[in-house]
Amino acid sequence: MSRTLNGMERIRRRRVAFALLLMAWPVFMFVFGQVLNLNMFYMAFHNYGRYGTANPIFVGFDNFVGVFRMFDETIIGNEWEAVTNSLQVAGVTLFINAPISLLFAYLLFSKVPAYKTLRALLYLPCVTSAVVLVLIFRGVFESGPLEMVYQLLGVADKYPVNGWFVQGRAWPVIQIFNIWTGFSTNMLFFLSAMNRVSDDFVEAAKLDGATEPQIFFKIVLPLISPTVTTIMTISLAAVFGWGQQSMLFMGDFSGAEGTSAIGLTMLGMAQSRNFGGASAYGVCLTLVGAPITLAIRALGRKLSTNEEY
Amino acid sequence: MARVREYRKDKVKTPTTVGSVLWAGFKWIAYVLMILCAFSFVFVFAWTFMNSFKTAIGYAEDTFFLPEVWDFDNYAKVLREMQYKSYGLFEMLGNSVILIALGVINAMVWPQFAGYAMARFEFPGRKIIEAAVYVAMIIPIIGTTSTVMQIKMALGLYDTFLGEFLFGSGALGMGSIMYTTLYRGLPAAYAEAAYIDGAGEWRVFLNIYYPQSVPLMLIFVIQGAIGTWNDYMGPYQMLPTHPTLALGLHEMQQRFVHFGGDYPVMFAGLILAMAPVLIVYSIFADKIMGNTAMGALK
Repeated sequence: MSRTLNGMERIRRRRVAFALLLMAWPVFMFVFGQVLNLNMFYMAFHNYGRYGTANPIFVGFDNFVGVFRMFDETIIGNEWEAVTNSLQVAGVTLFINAPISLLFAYLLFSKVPAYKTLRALLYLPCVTSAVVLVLIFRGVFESGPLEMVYQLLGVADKYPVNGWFVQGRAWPVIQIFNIWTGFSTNMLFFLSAMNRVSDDFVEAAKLDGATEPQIFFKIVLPLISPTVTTIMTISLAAVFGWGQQSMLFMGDFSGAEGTSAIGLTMLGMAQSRNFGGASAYGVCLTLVGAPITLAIRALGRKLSTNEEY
Repeated sequence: MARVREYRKDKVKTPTTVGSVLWAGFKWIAYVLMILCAFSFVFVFAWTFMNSFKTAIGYAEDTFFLPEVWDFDNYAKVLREMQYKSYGLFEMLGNSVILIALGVINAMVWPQFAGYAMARFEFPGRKIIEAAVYVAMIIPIIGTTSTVMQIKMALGLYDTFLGEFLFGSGALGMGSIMYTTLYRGLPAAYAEAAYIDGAGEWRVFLNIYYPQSVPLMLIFVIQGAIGTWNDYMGPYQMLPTHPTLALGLHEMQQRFVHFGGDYPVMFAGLILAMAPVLIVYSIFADKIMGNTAMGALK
């Protein structure tokens, strides 16, 4: 008996040693990366001068005060717009792109006609540079087929083709672009998870008289829910850094014209060498965003199934 | 066997209800929407390709129909003019290829190691690491650029490919989370059977579990390669004497946004930038999308 126990202990130790061997480099690099990230907390309490190169001077909570002033319209500006826009991006991610990704993935999983061709075409935005997509989209909106549509509708005078990327119009257009190009990656992740659902489950459900909606909502969706939760958590976390599309569309005016976002504000602060301010903003976002993201993840896990499939 | 299949096929027919009719209608609408989305991608690329052969005047007159005169000079102009500082097109292309190769190695090794270990083994600190990875992912990293630069300089790794390779090997992130989720969903029985047959840990990992992650890994490899191909900020900050093609394209895009320019010439530049990626994608699309490795073990 004790010999068997010793054998099992030996196996357990061997497996732990193997796991630690696999984890050694990733953990080392992770810790190293976190040391760099922790430096952000240090920087949040220091001033690096006008050019960001001076010796750091401890300034207490001054950088944080500066961040809060950005939200006070009477002092500096209206950072609320950036926050509202970022929340809108989160809404688009969660309530538009995620359902579209899930729906298209299910259609492909159901092997609708020409599903292989459709799958390859729908993935095209993922293999194309954002710079390229933005320029093509801009070309279509500013000088391309839209012009013909306007002429057909007789509204060419009302909506000039080159008048989209201005105050009040640019942001909705950027969000249309965001939806148009934003579902492909997640669709493929969801499809990959669905393809691992055993045909036996589906067939057994059909034998029991389950309808297709029941199969989707009661079998497929619960089985892929860990993947869905993970993807949605990561996508929501990425919203804090969102801003590249605005920047590519609007160039130097990306923070203006109603197209600002939190990620753009921080990028602007870093580019203007306000390292202390950017870090303070990052710390604030972490304190707000970390509990929300982890809570969503925990909720998703609670609702998920842990069945092997 | 065929009879059994026929019988099951016959048995699995579900009765028609109002719900199933509504669902069928909904599926058809979604299917049409999906076709329109797919078509829109093809349309804009074809439209761009077609207009890249127009003269500026031809484009101003009409953007929708085939060019009357096919102007190939747009491409020659891009090849002549696309540059970053004194670096030419082919030098930038070479740098892009090297960076992609290093990124592919990183994507194939470290996140897999971490994902497999976290999914399949209990070891001290596993839960803490897993939680820390999530927290780390939402910490904005904009403020760390200067720190990274300083450390790279101190280690002699600034402006080197080795530096990019080592600093790009931080495996604990989205990749490792996805692999952890994937490996957790795979039955442990495969490993137990292999252990009984005398297989060691490496063999179980590399011969049984690793191949099952290939479709997911291909997504990461392709996305990573495309990300590297498209990334202009990273090389701009960390590889000043090794600019990539993305920097050249970004330079061209910025000139266009700020000073305006000739749309057909810009379209020619976009087609040239897209061409390698689209060629690779069209060759490997089926492999990337297919789930042969997954299906084999279902």
